[in-house]
Amino acid sequence: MKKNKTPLLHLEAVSKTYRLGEVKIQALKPTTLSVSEGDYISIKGPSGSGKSTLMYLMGLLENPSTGKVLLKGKNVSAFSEDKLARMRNQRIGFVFQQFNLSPRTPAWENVSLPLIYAGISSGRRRQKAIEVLKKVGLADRLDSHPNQLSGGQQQRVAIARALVNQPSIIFADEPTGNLDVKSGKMIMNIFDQLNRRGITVVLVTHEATIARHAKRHLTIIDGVVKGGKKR
Amino acid sequence: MIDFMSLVRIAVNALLRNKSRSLLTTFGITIGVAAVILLVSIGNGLEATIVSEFQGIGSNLLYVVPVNVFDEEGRPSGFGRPGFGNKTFTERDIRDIKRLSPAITAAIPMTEKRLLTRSPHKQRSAPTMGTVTEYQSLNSVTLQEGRFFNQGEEERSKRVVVLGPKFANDVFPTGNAVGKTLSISSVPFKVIGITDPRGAEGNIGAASLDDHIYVPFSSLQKLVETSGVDTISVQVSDASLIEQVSTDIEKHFARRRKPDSFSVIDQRQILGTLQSVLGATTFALSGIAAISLVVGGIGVMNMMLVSVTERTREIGLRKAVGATPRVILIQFLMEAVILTMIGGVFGTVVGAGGSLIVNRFFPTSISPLSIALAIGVSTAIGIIFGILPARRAAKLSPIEALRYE
Repeated sequence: MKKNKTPLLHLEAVSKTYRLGEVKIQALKPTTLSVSEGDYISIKGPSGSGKSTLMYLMGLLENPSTGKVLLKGKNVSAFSEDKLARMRNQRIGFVFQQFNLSPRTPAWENVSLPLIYAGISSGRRRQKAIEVLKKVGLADRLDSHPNQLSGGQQQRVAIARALVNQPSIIFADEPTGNLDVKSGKMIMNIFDQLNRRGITVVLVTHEATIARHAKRHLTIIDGVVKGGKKR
Repeated sequence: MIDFMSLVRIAVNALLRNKSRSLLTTFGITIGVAAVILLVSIGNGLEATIVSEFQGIGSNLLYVVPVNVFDEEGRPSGFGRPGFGNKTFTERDIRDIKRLSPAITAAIPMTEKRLLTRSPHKQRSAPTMGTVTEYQSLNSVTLQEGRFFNQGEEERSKRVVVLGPKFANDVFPTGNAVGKTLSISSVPFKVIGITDPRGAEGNIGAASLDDHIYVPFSSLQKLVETSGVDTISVQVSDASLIEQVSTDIEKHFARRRKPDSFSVIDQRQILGTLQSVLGATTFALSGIAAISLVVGGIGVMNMMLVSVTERTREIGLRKAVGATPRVILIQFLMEAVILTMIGGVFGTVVGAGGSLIVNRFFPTSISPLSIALAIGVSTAIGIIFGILPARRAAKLSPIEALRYE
């Protein structure tokens, strides 16, 4: 594959230890792994295995306890909170199990949220939000509030929000966990399409049927990642 | 950068999501601001009244009273009632003062007694001022009807009386008082004049000059069988000489009287003292009202802390999609400030309205400064009491916020 190219995301001996009072918990043992542009990766593991921690570290939501994270070759582990926020805003999209939409706010405004923090004017925000909502098939629900939408539709709004700032990588944390089978399938189809268009997708799931959509599979048990090595 | 209006809209939307809670919190600030504005307007109104009352009394005047009203530093310490016991001045003292300096153009006795009066309509006690003809010119007294008593009447102890307008209206409600008889301490006096109003109403403690009656000094002496003079009012030819004359009089009495048995007061001193007393009172009152503002501020802080906890997931999401801690801080601070500013505006309206209502019974005066101050202070309260919750929100780690159930 693109061996000579700098990987999109590279974790170098990254570990994470949480302190719970007196007790230290190493949620992630030192791990080295690379994500290339266009990858479609699943991270599978039982609950409490450390898969969320791994995703948060990859998604720059948190700095590692040891090791370093490189985004396009740049060491971001040393970045300040403000710089990390800007990186997340411009490079990364998140989709969560609970959708995390703002209630009593129209779909298009929910989608445009990252654009506010990118400093884009409100007119352009609406225009961009409408564009991505069309891509996820919700052109007719622009002004609907989340409580007027089905679970599947809400998750599509959340995906549109993750896409609106044209990120290079999308993290999805149990994206079908709150959905029925049919809606789940529809959501997974969207991720498949996005990946075909060149967007890097990282799925965190404990369901084998969901993980199967990815091209590359990582399994994590008790903080140890298997299948991650790829050089 | 992020446009300001977007942040304002986010804040307003968040506040509207909990309308009743936001409204109740705003009330706390409204009450505080209204209380401050109302009390300050009452204080200012009192002060304005007293200043105008003093300006109505006349200028270039000194008062000599037979008690010490000054403290050790020479500042007025209080207003001891002159005329107690045998400490009063005599008519000889007045003649002596007149000879002290060419700058003294007049020195007249003023003795005030509270005496029972009776007209065909009403019986009541009245502050009765015994004085001389020159009182009229010294104090620029004008009459709406009739005339002031003249020197001949004064010398012959005629039983004539001039009424203040308020007294006249009270005791002769049917009007046409001039020419009628007013009985003072059961002695009939002829009403010869009614003065014009001499200053706004509502001076504290003492009765308004408009509620006084005036009789010749010699007539009062006969009536109450005393020769004492409570107060000597001294007119000085020029305001610049007041200090010099005041020293002369002090030296004169220092030789003749026991220390601490007289004081020379000029009007500006009295006014200055009254103003400082009223200023302190207004300050203290608004200080008490400000406590309710602080309580309102605590209400804002309480609400914002609850709000931050409730919206932990929202904060986490905002951070995940790129909000920096600073932007989160500004957003929550803005919510607090919007609440208190609206409270400030409501409070100003309520306080000003209350002040207008009170003004029908009692003088009030709203200064634009107090309005600007109230809105400024309420904004500051939003910042002060909003900063802690806002910082708590800004410091939340995005992961913990997203995990929060």
